[in-house]
Amino acid sequence: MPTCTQPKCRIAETGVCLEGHKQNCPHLTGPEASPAGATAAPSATPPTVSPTPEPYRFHSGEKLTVVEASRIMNDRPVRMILCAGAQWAGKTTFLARIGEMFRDGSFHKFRFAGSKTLCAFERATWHATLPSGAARPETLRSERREADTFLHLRVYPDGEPSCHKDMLISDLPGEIFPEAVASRDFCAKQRAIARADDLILFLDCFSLVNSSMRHAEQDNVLFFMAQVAKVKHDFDRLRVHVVFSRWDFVASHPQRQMHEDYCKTIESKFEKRYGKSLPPLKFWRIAARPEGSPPTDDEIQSLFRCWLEVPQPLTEIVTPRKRDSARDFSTFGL
Amino acid sequence: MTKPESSILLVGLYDTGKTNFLVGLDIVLDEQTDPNGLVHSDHAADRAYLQPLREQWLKGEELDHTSRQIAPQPHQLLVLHPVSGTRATFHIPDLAGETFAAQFVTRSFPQEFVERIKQAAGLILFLHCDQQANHALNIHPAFMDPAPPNQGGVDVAPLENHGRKWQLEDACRQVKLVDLLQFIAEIRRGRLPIRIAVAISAWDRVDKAPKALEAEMPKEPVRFFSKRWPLIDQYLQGNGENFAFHVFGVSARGGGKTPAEIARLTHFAHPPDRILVVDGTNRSSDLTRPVRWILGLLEPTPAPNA
Repeated sequence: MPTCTQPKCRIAETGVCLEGHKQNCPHLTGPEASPAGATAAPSATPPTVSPTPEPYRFHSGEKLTVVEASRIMNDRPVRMILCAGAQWAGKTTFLARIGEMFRDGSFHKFRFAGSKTLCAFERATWHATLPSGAARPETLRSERREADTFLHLRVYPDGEPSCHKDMLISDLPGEIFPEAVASRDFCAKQRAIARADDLILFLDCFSLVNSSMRHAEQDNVLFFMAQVAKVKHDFDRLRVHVVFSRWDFVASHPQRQMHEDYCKTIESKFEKRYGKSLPPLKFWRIAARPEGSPPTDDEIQSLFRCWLEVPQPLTEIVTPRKRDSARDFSTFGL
Repeated sequence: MTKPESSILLVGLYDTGKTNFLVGLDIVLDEQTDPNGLVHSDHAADRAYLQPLREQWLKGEELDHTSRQIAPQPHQLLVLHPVSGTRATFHIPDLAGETFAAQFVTRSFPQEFVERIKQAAGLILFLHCDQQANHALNIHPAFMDPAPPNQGGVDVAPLENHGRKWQLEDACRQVKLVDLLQFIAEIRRGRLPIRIAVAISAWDRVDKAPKALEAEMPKEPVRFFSKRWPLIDQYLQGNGENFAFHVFGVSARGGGKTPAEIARLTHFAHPPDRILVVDGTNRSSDLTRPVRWILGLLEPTPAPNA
């Protein structure tokens, strides 16, 4: 495979030329660069080629960095959503399912108006598609390096195409969730925590139906919540959604009632600790890619709609900062 | 006094009917019967690319695919609206579908194409009625149809894909096209909205589809578009500051590729009569209708249920 002297060209990996040439690209090097060159004598003088104008470059389509996310937040109002929970709790699958519903037109009430991160959405869905060849629907989990990166989505309410709403969604990789639970410093450095409008806490029902794992699962999530409470300056405005994810493990369990009761006790704990200090807590039962039953699309869409609801007017005397939520990360000294 | 020419770009992925449209248009321009229709403004001196394709089209043959490897000398197809004196140009050869797929991978446009987009009066966006907008999802076996999944145009995994990581080329069609439109919006930021005629090609197949399939394959182009390509439809509707769009069902070839179909296509005494253009309640053979809409010379016909 030929290689290219242009730093961003991926022809060696993909076979696709950055500038769209199939033959005679002036930047190619290597044995297959030019069929004419392959037969030419080694001493032949290389042909003179006129420089090709630099192509116009666009965004990468991958998750946004903090700087890229800040640029969007400075440009327009944005809702920031943070998804957190243990590894395999289904955070990425949940986000992939949102993308899938927009793609197949089954999302009610909100319509798609754009995304800077279409590639990242596609990547998340790939292993659930037939062309991927995966034996069963799966989702590629987020990696450690994806902490503090953001999916972008712009939507509009059905029938109001000019009423755009932008959201940035951060998916705290499950791999680093134990660090976030254990270290306040770590949480303090996460821009997504500092700026989040909505926090989605995932409790994995696969663990909750297992008596040896369930207490640790809820304990970790409650501890993480406590860390967030300590490091987030506007914690009292944070809207918290507790998601019992992979709900199919509860719904299809022979002792379903017992596990549902356990989930109720978790709800009570959250209410007791945070019910008075936060906007109303919300609890959801979600199965984005369940075994043997259809996904809980209505529940996922309801949760999504909650993110975009206009917050209730504040009744207390508020500071200007509270009235106009921070537009980027600089407000937090980060 | 003549008005300045507007350029129109043909946009679409591989095998979506761009070249068939261009060749069919070339023929309609010569044999225009509608006094309000478009005609040839002038024949380009060099028709080395178009003329052989035109011959293939008239014989009912399948056209050679536009190649990026053997690029003919660029020239233009010039069209004229005699009533108003409005002129427009099409760049020839049209860009190959791979060019638009490559844009998704390279995340860039050649400067030449950027300039064309900036100057364009409008685009014709081609979608093939049979192509899948999305990859089919791997539903759990409990929900799978017992019929083999490789029938009826459903995506199947090539063997080499098994266990492979996602690559940019793997993105589904409508995601690639939405991204293309986002790129176009970025390039044209601050300009007036660009007009996009969405051409759903091979419309004769939709037209002939059994009524029982109407829920999945609506026979009205606007409904077909919103049903089968929802992401693009929603994106265009939600970005009125950048795009104005109208949907046409187009069969520039007029039929299939079987010997019987070829015999039917060549049987027409007036070759353009084999063309089908559906726009709301209007059905015609005038392939210039999408072009006229882009040029503001055609009020779109309302949908039957409008």
